[in-house]
Amino acid sequence: MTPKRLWFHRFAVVWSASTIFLLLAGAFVTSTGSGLAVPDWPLSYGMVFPPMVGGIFYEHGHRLVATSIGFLTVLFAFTAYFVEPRRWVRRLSYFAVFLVCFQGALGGLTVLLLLPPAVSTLHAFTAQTFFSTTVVLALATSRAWIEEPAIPFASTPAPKGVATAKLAFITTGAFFLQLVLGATMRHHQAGLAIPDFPLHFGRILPPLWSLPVTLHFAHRTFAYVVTALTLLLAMGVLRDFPTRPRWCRFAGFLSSLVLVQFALGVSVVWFHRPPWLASVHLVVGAMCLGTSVALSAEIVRALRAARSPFGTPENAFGKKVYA
Amino acid sequence: MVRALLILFSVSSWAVAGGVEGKVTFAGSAPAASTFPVDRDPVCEKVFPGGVATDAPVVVGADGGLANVFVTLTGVPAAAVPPAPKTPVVLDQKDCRFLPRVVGVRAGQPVRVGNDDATLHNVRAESVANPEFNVGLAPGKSVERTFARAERMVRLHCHVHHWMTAWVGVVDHPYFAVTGADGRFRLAGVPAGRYGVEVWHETLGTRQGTVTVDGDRPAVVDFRYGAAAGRAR
Repeated sequence: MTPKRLWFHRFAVVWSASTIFLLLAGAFVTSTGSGLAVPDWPLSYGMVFPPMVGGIFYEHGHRLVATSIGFLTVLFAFTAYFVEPRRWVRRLSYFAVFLVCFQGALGGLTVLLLLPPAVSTLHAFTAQTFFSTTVVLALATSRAWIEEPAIPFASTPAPKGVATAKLAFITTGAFFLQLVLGATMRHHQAGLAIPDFPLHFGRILPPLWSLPVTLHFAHRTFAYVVTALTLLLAMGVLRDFPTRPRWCRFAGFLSSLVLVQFALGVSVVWFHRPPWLASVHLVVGAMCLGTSVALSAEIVRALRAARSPFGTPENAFGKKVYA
Repeated sequence: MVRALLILFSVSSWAVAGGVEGKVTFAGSAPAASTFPVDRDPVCEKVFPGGVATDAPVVVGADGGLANVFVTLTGVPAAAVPPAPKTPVVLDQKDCRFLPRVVGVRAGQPVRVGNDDATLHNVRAESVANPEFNVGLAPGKSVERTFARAERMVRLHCHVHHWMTAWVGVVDHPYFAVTGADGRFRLAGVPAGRYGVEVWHETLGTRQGTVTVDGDRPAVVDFRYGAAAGRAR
């Protein structure tokens, strides 16, 4: 791996990690109810740097962090244009630029339209998609991805391995759905619509089905599904792919994260949604999604290697250029 | 012609207009005030030493009188309604609070909110029948808006300082009032007739009653809330 690509990968890791901080800043805006503390956009009270008092600290702080990530994203794509030989990686970095611009526009729109739940939820969904994109780019620029030959998928015991691979994609989809449910619940202020756990108003099924209760119940119920899927996936990966240590590490980390996330979700209800706990719950949710996306990306790489006469297309390309 | 007759009818009604008065009381001990972190605002920290702001929606006087209850008549005939005044009802953001906390305004009458603090505030109007708005207010600035349709109640909120809340009752007639610190209210100039009376409190909910206004003597109607009353919205 050339020093240029090594630094490019380090840049990708810092960029992706910074996005976690951006997610945390955004989560604090909602958790503290500060989404409308700054009524104008793109300026804040007509200023670039308003006094950071009260809710302005969270809302304007989020805008500042988001702007920094926006600049980092453009810089990453610009660097990719010169450094990155793989077309799909370059294209994905351009897609990240599109996403970050779209996300900024959504953020402004949701402020100017007084936080309509549909726009705010789309803002949250785009945030998670953007973060997942940074994770894939950080992974794809890593030494392991570029230099280690991908083991073609067909070399594993086929029937079980294929089922586990499918389960990985299903789990990633389930995480996305769960995050959409969580964002919808959050932006309908339904985080405490069902005040008890594990029961719902003291019953197995809630006695009323208002929109907030339904959203909360859906998010809570689907949490069981996502947790079960993740644990099944982890067991499947450890059983079917013991020769792929990185996959096993991803699966182990994901199952640990999802258990922490479940406990955080329960704590949010039990402790009446303190802002920091609700925000950490959101961030750990994003990390679950990111890890699941990373595992899925590794599986896609193996599938592509199985179809390529050269092993992985990246390896073939890499040897040609850098060997 | 019809308009002239209506005006004549209104004026003749006012000639025999009486009033409605009463008291709203709260039985039991008032709930504890909610607390909020002031969050790095030196101006509000001077008002709330220790950096913890308090907000007490239920304010009970020594004799049980409940303050900040919005009282309005219902079933007022349109003919008895004079035009809405053009002078604005004024609220201030002062000492990191809305003052007063509850006001009434005629539909079509302006409401002016001013920032008397040396810090930034915003005013978000959470409304159903009227357009919502969110306006930032620098120190010394004010904003004027008009609610065209009757609505009980419009919530005004400052998202910079989460404890700051006020309520605006938008009514399509002039017969409304807000209880004072002693829980008392008085509606003056009410034409003779039988009306519904509705009282509203932001956390204790609404109560209804009826009253008959006859002649110059004020009709009296009292209301009572208990500690177990539910939330209004």
